[in-house]
Amino acid sequence: MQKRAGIIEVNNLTFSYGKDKQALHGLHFAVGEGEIFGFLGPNGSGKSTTQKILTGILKGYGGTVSLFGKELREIHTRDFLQKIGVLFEFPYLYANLSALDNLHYFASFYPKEQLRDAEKLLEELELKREFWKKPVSSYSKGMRQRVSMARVLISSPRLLFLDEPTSGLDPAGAVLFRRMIENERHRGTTVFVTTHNMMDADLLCDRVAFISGGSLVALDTPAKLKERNSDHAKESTLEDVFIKCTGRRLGE
Amino acid sequence: MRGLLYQLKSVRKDKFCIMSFLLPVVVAVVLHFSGSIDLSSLGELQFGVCADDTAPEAENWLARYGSVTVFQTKAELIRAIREPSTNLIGVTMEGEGIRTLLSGDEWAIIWQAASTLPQLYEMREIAAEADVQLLERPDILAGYQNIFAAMTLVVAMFMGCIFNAVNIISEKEDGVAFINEILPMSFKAYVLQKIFIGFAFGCLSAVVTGAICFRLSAAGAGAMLALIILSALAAAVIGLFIGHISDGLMMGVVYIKIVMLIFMAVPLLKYLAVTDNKVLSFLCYLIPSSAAFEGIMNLVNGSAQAIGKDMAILMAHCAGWLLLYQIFNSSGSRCDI
Amino acid sequence: MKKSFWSLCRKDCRMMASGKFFFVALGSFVLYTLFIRFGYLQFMDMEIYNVYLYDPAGTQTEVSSLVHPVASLKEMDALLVEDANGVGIDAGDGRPRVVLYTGSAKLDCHRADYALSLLHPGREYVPEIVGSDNLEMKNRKDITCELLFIEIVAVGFLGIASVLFKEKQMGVIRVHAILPVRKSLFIGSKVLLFLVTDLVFASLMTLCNVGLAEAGDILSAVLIQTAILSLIMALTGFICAMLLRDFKQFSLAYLVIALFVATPVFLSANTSVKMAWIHFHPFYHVYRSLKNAFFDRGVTSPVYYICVVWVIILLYGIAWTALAREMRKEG
Repeated sequence: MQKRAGIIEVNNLTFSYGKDKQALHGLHFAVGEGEIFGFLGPNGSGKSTTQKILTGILKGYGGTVSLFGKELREIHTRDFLQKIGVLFEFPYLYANLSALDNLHYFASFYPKEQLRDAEKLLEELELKREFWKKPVSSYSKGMRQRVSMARVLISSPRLLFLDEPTSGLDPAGAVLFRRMIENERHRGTTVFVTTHNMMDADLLCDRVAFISGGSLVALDTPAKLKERNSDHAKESTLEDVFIKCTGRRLGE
Repeated sequence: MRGLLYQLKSVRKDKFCIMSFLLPVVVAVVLHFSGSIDLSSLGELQFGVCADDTAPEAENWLARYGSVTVFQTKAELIRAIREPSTNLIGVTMEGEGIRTLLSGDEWAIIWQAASTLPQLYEMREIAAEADVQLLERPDILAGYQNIFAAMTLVVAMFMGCIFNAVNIISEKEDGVAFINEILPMSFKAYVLQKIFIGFAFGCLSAVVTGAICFRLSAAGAGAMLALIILSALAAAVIGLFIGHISDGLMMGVVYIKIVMLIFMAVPLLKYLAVTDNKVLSFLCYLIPSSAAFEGIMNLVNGSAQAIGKDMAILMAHCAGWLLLYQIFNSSGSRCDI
Repeated sequence: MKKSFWSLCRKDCRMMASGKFFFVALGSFVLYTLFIRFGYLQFMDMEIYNVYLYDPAGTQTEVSSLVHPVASLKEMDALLVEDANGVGIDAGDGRPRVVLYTGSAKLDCHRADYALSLLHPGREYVPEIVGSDNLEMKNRKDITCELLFIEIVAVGFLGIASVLFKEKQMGVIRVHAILPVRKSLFIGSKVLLFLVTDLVFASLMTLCNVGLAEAGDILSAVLIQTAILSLIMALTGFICAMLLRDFKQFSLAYLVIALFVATPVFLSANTSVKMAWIHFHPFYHVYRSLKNAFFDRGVTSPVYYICVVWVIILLYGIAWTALAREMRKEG
């Protein structure tokens, strides 16, 4: 496994939910600054656990986790939270507030100087203007996902954690989101993506890691992983690599 | 039929459902086995005297009329008189007679008692020789106990209202109500499914509560069962209404609170106020629990013949609410989100 | 930090408004005030027993005006059957004979002696008054205190939990887990909002139902006790919302608290029914203090205030831990 110095450094990460529920078995990886890093694995493999540990939600882990060059246990403060943005799997928003109200509310916890314009963001995310002031309860899933993405980006985070970012979006929406993520990378933001979507992983990620049963089973660029897996008869896809490495199909 | 079985299955694990039906039974058990709450002290007069001021003779005389508390100092006595939760009459000696003290905020009965107490003390020897004939009547306190029990029974009958309301609101919140919209189900089947659990468990809860609280003859028990069935049915349908008009569990709980308060307060006030006002009586009968409560009290007090009116009113309620629900259902959707 | 706190408060205010909490509180205030003015005050009194005299020959010459003469024994019997507390005097043969239906032994004694005393009314006697309230003012303060207690224990407790359950349902609690905002502010904003609402409610209830003149003397003491009760109930509601899975489960807890916690407190505090263990009931002391505040009796015990502060600190600690646990669980 390639080890790089960078914004995230994970060494021998272990975690257990109880006596017999060991979720992670000594993960080692690093994510460089400005990199889009994909984290893939079947259900129950430890993806969410890893992300929760990296965002500081879960404590009591073994090993070391460094973010921004410092041990996570020491830096999990308001300053740390101001530097990260987290997109959850489902769009969690205040249903009785409008998109703008949601954004203004969540933005109010960050320093003014790092905030972006809410209306500009919604425009970039192609949410129709007539919906901006309507309550989120009237939105479709795709619209809520756009507002969630705006919530994450409004604070100009240095490190983004995205869980299934294109889930619930139509193809045009998925393309838009990929473009937004690329734009973030150009701004110098590091992106940690957890996804089942092979196209996202293939198109977006600089490197992908496959996790299975709490252990990393592969970590490299998508091209190199496909190359290693392909034979002369057929070109390998990332899904093929996934199945080979994890022994399971996506979604299992 | 299968739908009902699944409804029953879902109730089996629903702690809220089980607890709400058990609650009146628990209260009934407490009422029955608490050895009847000693409420006799509630009606008695209460006197306060100073230890160094009152003659033993006066103290003994006061004890004939009520409880006597001895305070060490006058300041303590005055503090106790001023205590708002009691109606203590302070008594001190004044020469050969007595003087009474009040805080000024007592009921008229206490005022009158305190005003006449010195005179009673003067006349105590004459009064002791008076000819008094005591007539027997049913224990008032048992009557109060019956009111508590009847009220518990009414609550049991109307638990089905709470359950159905919460059930409908939960379906709306979970989105299951949308599925109900597109199911090939007749109105009759829909209503049957929706009200069955609330109605059945309301009946069961009320039957168990009634069995614990009251001892009735076979005919009386039959009449009580009819009352229970009719009341539980009306309550179950009202619960559906509450569920449909509530736009969330918070509002639902508020509506349920208001409805239960009305269900409990109206029959109790009507019974205690004993009014002949026909308009007021009619208005009270608009609340189904009024007829239910009145029917229970008639049965318990042995006036079973009056129960026919109460049953007729409850039948009218059942028919009326079902008809109203059918109109409501056909004019709007089953689930209004 | 100030900006975050006001942001949270604004958001919580909107949540409460959209949940119609303010509407319910206002409705409750109006309902309670109407009930007090047109219901409770009208019938909260009890007259002394009626005395009926059958004296066809007019043998009793010095009869009080409180005695109701009857024309026949049959009429007297009929009146006594209807009037449970009434006392009849049969002076048909010149010698008064008291007739009454039994109640309790001591009360029967008084009823009989009282009835006889009306046949020899003495000079008018007025008891010495040692208090400052009259019956109407006492009733007003009593019922206002009780309704305020019910409102804070039941509605306030319900209100904060419903806001939290809504937030749980929307999933936004897990979003707060990754926001740069302190958990103490998250708790504080909700508790403060409910505290302010309860204080406003208490002020309105006191001013409108006790009267401006009386309220001036007692309002500050009432507000202090209201604040104590409000903080306890808001934190308890917060904890219940964090620990219980959904609003349905919470409704059960709410039923139990409202019924079984409030009932012994009311019985003990308002009647002579005393339970030996009532002094261990925490709400009893809070209710008594609130009542003492209404009756201007002063709550000066330092032990009470020390206990209350410790309880609030303990509840806050539990709320903070519960919130942290919930954020980890949901995240």
